[in-house]
Amino acid sequence: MTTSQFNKMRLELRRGALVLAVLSSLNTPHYGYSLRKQLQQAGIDVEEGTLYPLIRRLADQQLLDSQWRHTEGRERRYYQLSNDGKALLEQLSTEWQGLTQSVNALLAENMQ
Amino acid sequence: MNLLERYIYSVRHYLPEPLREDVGRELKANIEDELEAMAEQQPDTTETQRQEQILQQFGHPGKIAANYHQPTPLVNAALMPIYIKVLGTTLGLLFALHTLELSLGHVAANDFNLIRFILQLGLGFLDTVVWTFTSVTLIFYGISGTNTEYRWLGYNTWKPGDLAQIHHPWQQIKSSDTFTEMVTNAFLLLVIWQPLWRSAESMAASGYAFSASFASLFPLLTALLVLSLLFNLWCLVKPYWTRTSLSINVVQNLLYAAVLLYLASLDELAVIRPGHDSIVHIDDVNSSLSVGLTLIALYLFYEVFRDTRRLRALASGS
Repeated sequence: MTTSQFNKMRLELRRGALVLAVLSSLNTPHYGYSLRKQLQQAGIDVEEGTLYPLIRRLADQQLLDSQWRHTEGRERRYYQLSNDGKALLEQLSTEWQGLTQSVNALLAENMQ
Repeated sequence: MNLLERYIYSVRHYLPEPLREDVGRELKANIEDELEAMAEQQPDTTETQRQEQILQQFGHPGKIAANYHQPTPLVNAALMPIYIKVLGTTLGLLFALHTLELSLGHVAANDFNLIRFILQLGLGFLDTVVWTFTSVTLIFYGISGTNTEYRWLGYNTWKPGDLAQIHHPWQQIKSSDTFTEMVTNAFLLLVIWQPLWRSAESMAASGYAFSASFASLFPLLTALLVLSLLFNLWCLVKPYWTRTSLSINVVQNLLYAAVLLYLASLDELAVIRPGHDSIVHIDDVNSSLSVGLTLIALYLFYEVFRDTRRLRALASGS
């Protein structure tokens, strides 16, 4: 397998998981950079050019509420889960748990 | 304008008007946060160096803008296979018609130049390609916009019983074969009915004419050719051989073979119009035509034999 193949597959694998990670992190309000730092600390390193547009797309789908605030002398846009976002997060979390459990079991069975 | 402002300006340029202000403002705030964090981590670097590094990480303005406002594809992925098929079929059909039109033009002009023919065919068809591509794409763009493609394609109401009963690879009919047959049939139809579309002067200028015995078969040939064209259309809609379509093909080929053999047996198929000379003797022309028609009839008999075997294979289910 070539590096580009790996990168492509990795990107596909991470795409859905990233949405879930962002939604769960936005249970508390965050602005772009603070969210990126939080994800980084949790071991999820996301490029700026990927994360910031993703937050905005989620907001466009009414999954996030946003608000401009003036903090530390600068304006920042804060995002937080909307009611729709909370409901979706709950459903996606259940889906994720089931999926990871199944995949982990398969990996454990076949990777030995 | 510093680097950051130039970057924001450039990203805005790629975005639709209603988004420019808001996305530009948000992107600026995000980049400033990144710059501030970097200034704390790398205090020895200059502001410009930090800006260059951060903007490099963000990537090309066009790429960032596309992430913020993902462009809608002209044709949805679900429609893509049928879009390509419709485009291919339409272009194939139009190419066939274009070739036919051009060929008839050359017949009417009593003059043929291969290079001119190829140039006219290529250049003339280029225009058709552009129009067809644009029209078909616009129609599919319209369908994609409604988000009803699954219903439109019948995916939601599909049942396994709808599947074509194909047991052999040869059952698939190539659309190129059908197009070729269609053009041939249409061409022959137009050739035998030349008086309907050629002027009397143009006809008179032509040295050769069909013999009276050949012309007496025109009504029969016309009926056969029209039925063949209808059969070709059916094959385009259902491009696979079934027992019914194979049976039709066998009957059709037998009829054509019989007519061709009868024509080959005639004393004369072509005659020279009064007042015209021919470089080749008319008897030689008629002999060549007879041999040609006999060879075509033999090939049709081979097809009848082949299709009969195929019919047996389908009937036995093997």
